[in-house]
Amino acid sequence: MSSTEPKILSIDTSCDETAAAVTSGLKILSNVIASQVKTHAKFGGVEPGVARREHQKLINPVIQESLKQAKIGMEGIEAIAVTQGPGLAIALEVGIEKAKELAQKFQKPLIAVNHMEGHLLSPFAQDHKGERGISYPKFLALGLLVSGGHTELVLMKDFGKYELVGQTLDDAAGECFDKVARILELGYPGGPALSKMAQAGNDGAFRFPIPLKWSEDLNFSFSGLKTAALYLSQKLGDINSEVKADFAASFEKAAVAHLVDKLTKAAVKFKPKMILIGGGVINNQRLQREVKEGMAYLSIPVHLAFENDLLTDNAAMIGISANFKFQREEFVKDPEKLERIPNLSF
Amino acid sequence: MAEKILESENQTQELARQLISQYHQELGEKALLFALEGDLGAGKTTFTKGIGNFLAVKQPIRSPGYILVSEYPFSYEGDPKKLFHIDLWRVQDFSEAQTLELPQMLRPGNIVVVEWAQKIPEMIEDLISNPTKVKAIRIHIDQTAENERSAKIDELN
Repeated sequence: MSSTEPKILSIDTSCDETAAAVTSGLKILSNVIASQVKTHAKFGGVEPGVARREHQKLINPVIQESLKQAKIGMEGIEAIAVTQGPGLAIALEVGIEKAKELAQKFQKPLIAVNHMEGHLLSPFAQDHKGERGISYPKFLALGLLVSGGHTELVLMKDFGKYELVGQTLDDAAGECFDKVARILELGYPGGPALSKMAQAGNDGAFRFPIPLKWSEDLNFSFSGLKTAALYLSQKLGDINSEVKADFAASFEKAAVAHLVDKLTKAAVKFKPKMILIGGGVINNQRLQREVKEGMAYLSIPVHLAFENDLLTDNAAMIGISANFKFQREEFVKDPEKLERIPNLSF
Repeated sequence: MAEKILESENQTQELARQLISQYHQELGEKALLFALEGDLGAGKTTFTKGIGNFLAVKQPIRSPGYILVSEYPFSYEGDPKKLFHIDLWRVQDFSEAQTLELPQMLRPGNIVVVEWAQKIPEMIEDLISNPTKVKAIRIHIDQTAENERSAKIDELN
């Protein structure tokens, strides 16, 4: 077990997505995601949902596909990694049971990974040629993780050494985008649709309050923005698509300002040498741009994963985390007893 | 049925604290189920924060809108129990809700708070069909003005 670039099969079933990936060190050999949006044609018309049985239907084909794309068989795999939490208990369980089964059957060591560490380390991922990704990490690092289920600020002193320094007190940012999209009747999940619409809007048309602006702590709150959006839509009544675009742009401006405000406060406080950003909401172009601009002002480099599929939930990022755990020989001592931890934190 | 006017988030949390203290002693023999009905922004998560506050749950109660179920440990008369916070906002139908395994959560001493309970009336009926195991309270919240909610509270069994 002395491989410097161990080939690891990783599984993530933390919420909606059934995902499997093969990594070799930090190189991504495959990254397969059965999502509601993308792959249901490929996997025989099954629409993956949150349900356990959907994960159960999809887990084998997704794992097979990840091995096939990586052109590797189980004999070439050196360890199995799986997301232990945080997430939906009944969904996590499917991945964990499958990982245990494979580890037992093929006599491979098992690595348990925190899904949020996966998001945090996603900027370290390299393509299959070993290009892209962070080459010379500098610590202290500060992470901003923004997704449908999480909004967190994390300090990273080294690999495996983390401290949660801020988090949302109510709704996650992505959830807020989806809910405001629902208020604007943009369907579900409407966050990306809202952001697209916002590009054509005037972000000064409506004034949304920036949450916790005067608070020095590093926590987030999105519930008030959601309620402000609700009240505004009730006041406006029926609106045409032009006003909707203005609404979306004005809301997005405030939501992004809130995220950048807290990130900046954390950066000023801890003076990190690099910023790591991850999670599905990082796909939002305005957020990416304003984070980069804000941190450029403080001369702190910002790193994010080299492709969008590494920002949303995926198993390749679990493989990246697992690679560092493999190097530290942090294997699950008694795989039989590995249990899901739905509220796992840093 | 009781009706309350709520004019702030504090009042919503206060209502939750009142209700949980009123039914707290049931936990010795039963699970408590709070079925929360109300639209976006009604204050359902705010209500649940009040429950968590009364139970001295350490972590902040956050919306489980995305992961559907959050669980928080608390202690009842020295015994470890669980508060399950369920959000059916994203759940499309009854059969999807069924996979969340609510019956397993309803062990004596546990508390289950279900947001968007209006999506699963049949299932709620089913869950409370054994009144010796579960005490269920419905809180229906309507927004009546910009900063005003009306809450209708009734015992389901």
